[in-house]
This record gives sequence, structure tokens and C-alpha cells, in this order.
Amino acid sequence: MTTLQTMIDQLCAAGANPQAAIQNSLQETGKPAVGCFPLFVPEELVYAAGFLPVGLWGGISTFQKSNQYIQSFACSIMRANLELGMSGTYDFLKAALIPSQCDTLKCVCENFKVAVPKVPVIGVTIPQNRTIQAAHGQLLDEFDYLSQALAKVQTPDCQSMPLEEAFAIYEDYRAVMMDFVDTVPDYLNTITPKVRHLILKAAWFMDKKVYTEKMRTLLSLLKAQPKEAFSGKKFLVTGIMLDALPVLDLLEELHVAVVDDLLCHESMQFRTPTRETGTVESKLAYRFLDLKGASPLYEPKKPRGSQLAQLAKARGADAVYFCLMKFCDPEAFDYPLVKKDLDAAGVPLLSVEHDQLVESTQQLRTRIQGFLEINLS
Amino acid sequence: MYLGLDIGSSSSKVVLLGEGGEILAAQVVNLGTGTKGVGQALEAAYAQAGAGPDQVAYAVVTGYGRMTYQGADKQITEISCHAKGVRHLSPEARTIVDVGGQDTKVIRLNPQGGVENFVMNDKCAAGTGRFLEVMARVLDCPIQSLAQLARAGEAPVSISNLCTVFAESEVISHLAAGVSQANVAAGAIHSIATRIVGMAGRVGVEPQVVMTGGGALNGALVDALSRSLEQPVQVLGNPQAMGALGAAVFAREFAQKRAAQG
Repeated sequence: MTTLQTMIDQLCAAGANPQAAIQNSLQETGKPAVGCFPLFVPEELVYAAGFLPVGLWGGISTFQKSNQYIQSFACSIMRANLELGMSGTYDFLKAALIPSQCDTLKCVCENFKVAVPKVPVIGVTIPQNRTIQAAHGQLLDEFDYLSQALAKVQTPDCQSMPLEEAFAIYEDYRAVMMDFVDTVPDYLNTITPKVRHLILKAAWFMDKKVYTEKMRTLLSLLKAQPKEAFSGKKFLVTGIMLDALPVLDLLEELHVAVVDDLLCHESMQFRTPTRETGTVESKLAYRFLDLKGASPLYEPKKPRGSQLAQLAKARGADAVYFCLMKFCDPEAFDYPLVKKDLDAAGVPLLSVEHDQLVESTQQLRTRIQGFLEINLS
Repeated sequence: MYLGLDIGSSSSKVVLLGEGGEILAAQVVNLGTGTKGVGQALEAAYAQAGAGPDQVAYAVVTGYGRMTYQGADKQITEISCHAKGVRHLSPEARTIVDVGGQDTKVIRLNPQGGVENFVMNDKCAAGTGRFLEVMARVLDCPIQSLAQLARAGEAPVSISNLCTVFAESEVISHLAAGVSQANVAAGAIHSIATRIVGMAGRVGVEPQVVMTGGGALNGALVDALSRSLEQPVQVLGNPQAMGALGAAVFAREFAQKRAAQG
């Protein structure tokens, strides 16, 4: 019998063991894989071309070969991706989609071509100024280019489908995921910070259709449980990603729950509502043009702070946890603006800077515990 | 009797308070978390107070190694404990600069003595006691004599690197270029003060400023900080034991609260 715990364990195991999860997905689907770099790429095009889209979001903290191309004071996700590519971990990929959403990504796109010759790079150019009509046209052209580039690396194993079909699968995935995100606040004892993160992370390593079905099952089992009272503090987390399991364990130990997120790695992948009219290509384009709150994206009015304030209020969050990726300039530039908006809204804000992975949490413990003692006790 | 224990990265501190809040014992052992320092500090404190652990009504542990000690009723961060300790000695204090072995923190207090905001170093050992230890080693000077050496420096060199490791290389370069040890020591002290002022600016500095932690034992650093902040910097009691004192004050308060609740 499938139980809630079985589903949680299954998805958490996939999130915690990317290589095993990807291998499993490759065997299950028979599809070849294409890697998707942070932050946002049109996965639907990859899926429609018959590939298994796989998220490439770092995951190691020891770097040797990548030091030839990226300094130690650069984004740890990009350093890790280059290291993994150079060490052959990504050799199974038929291509890697690398968007141009920050300066480091732009450089890595070029570095990867030279450093990892076995994996063809497909650059994804997202228009910087997303507010003008030309951006929409540029994205449609970009999608044509991407589809052509993906066609060049297709193999007989690819199970291509019309873009409409792929888009519908992703729309279903997004609806189920928003349902999950909306449901989590009622089950904060069961869906701990680490469980929530690993469940969401698993999406990067599984076929979206398969993953969505598992999530649907998990959700129905979760909703069948009585709602849980949670006596700890509730954080709304924001940033590029919060993937450091020791930090998530620490939150749980300090009796803190993650009630929602505005993380590029997690809910920002599916949070933006899809427009109701237009062709499927146009809807896909607007999914990028309508994105809000990601620090590397050009936004003249920078709505992230007010977005966080509204979300914190809606979720009953006690505070916002700003997970500042070390050496990430866009995040650092966003912080004072976010702080100003949250201060005005009376929402306590804790900013913690660390690499993607964290070995020791002792200093972080003092930061977080001190914040709880001062603001929320 | 109430026990406050501060297990730091490089020293262990114990304060025992009596029923009326009087300090019965205060001990510092320069061995930190994961060493015999905790046991030695406790033993010395009990000996000083002429008491034993069975007489402790409530114990609070703080500091970098607080999670490793199982014998306390409660563990509280050193941020809250330093604030409590300082306010116990000086109700006028509004800003605390705690230079410990591993961390440096600037804590701003509200008029009621509660912690309003704090910042701590999160990038490296620059501006911490570890930086002082590294500088003392490079200068071949006992850490206790570093302040005296720095005070003799009439033309402090500029040490621009924030990273402790790079700063060490920079100091070696200065020494190789013939700069006197005193001027290098004065430059090193000045660079820490500059870094602390940068941190302090993030929370705002209001008088009275109190310096705590092992760094406050370095008079040259206290003076340099005072010059950089352009206001007096106080050192109260035993600055190294301030966290332990705060922990002991918390212990007394919690015990009284528990007793009041029956």
C-alpha cells in the first residue's frame, strides 16, 4: 500500500541522490537527457524535442579543475557545474542549455564550450529588458533557434511531441506544484524544511509527467491527514537556492518551518501564472516576461520586497530568511531594496550569506538562533 | 547558586552568581570547545566559590561550543548573553563590540537593554581574535605583549588585505622591507579597528560603547577602536567572561521565574 511516508521517502531520496534519480529516469523513460542550467530555461522545448530535461544546479563543494576558468570568489553553483562537467559527470548529456541571466552565467556559457567539449552548449538568450514588446518577439525567435539547436542533437531515442502537448504537461506540473506549495503550511510538522526542499528538488531529476503523478498521489495522501498545529516559527525563504541540508536541518532543530519560498531553484520555477490567451509559443514567452522577483532579472521597480511582504502576510510567516548566495552580486544588490520594503511592512528579515553547500553551521546557528531570540521570542 | 558557562572557540569561561546576584566566582581557561578547558574552568570556579555542582540551581550555557555541553538547563546565544552581562554592569550601554576568538560581533541595544540588532563577521577570520593570534605569531610576539608592541609604533603601516591569510603575507612583506615590528603591529591593530567600524556602521553606533571578549584585553585595540569610532570605548570588569556573566544572570532570572510559577 502506498502511504504518505512512502511517497515522501521516495521523492526525498530522488532529491537527495541526483545521479541515482537521473539514472532511474533515463532507464524508465528511455529518453536521452539535456541539462538545464540555472536560472530559468524553456524546459518545455527540451521536453517537446523528446529529451529528459535535467537540472544542473551544482552540488559539490570541492573544486580543482574548474579553478582554471572561474575564480574562487565566484558563484559556487557555476564553479560546481563546470567542475562536474570537466570531471565527466555530465558526459551522458546530449547538450546543456545555459541561459544568460547573470554575468557569471554569460562567462560560464563560453567557458563550458571549451572546458567540456563532450557536452554541446546551447546558449539561451533571454532579453534583458522584458518590459518592451520587442522582448516578446525576440523570445519567439529564440525559441525557434533553440528548437533547431535541440533538433541537431536529437537521437533516435528521442520521443518528440508537439509543443502544445509538452506545454500542457508542464501546466499540469505547475498547477500540482502550486497546490503543494499552498498545502504545505497546513502540514509543517510532516513537511519539514528539508523534506519540502528535497521534494521540490526531485523535480529537476525526474520526467515531469512521472514526477507530477507522484506529487498528485503525495498531495492526496497529505490532504487526507488532519491539518497540523505548528508551535514553532515560520520562515519565508528567498534567494537563488537553499540547498544546504545542514542549514535545513538546523532550521528544523531550532523549530523553524519553511512556510513558502521565493527561491529561483524552487517555487519561482512554477509560480508565475500562465497567460490565458495566445499561441503556446507566446504563452511560453510570457512565462519569462512575466517573471517577477528574481534578482538577476531586470525589473525597473524591483517588486521583490513587496512580493515577499505580501507573501509573508498571506502565509502567516514570522520572518523572511534571505539566503544570500556568496559572491552573487545580483542578490547582494537586491538585499537593501528588499530590506527597505520589509522594514516598512514590519516583517523581520534575516540575511544569511553562504555558499551552496555548507559544512559547518556553528556560526549560522548563532546567527539564526540570535535572530530568533531577538525578534521572535 | 547560578551557573553561566561560555564555551568559546579558544577559551572557556565560567561565572557563578549567588542568590543576590553577587559574583561568587569568575574563571577563564584559555582552552576552547572540544578541549579539557570546560572541565578545568568549572573546577576552578567551584573551588573559588567553595561550592560544588550540586548547589547549582540553574545553568545556562552559551558560546561557540554551547551545543556540546549537556549539563545546562538552557542554551542561549552569546549575542543575548553578552548583552545581558554588559547591561548587568552598565545600564547605560547601547553598543557592544565583542571580539572573540572566532567571531566578532557588534550588538546594538535598545534603551531597555534588549538586543535591537546585531552583525557578525561571516566571511573569514579578519577582525577576530584569530587575526590577532596570527599577527602575534608572525611578529614573534606573545599575544599578551602585542598591545605594548603596537603602542610603540609611531608610523603604523597600512594593511589593506581583509583576508587574514593575505594580511599575513602583507605583514611578512612589510617586515622584509625593513618596517619595524612596532609599526607593523600598530598597523595590524588599526586594520582590525577599521574592519570593526565597518561592521558597526551596519547596525549604527550609539554611546555608551562597551568592548567585550578576549580582544578587549588588548588595550591598543580598545584605543584604536575608540579613535576610529571617535568616542570612548569602555571595558567593564572581566571582558572575556562577559558572556558567562550574562549566562549566569539569565540562569538566575529563569530560576526565579520557575520558582514564581511554582
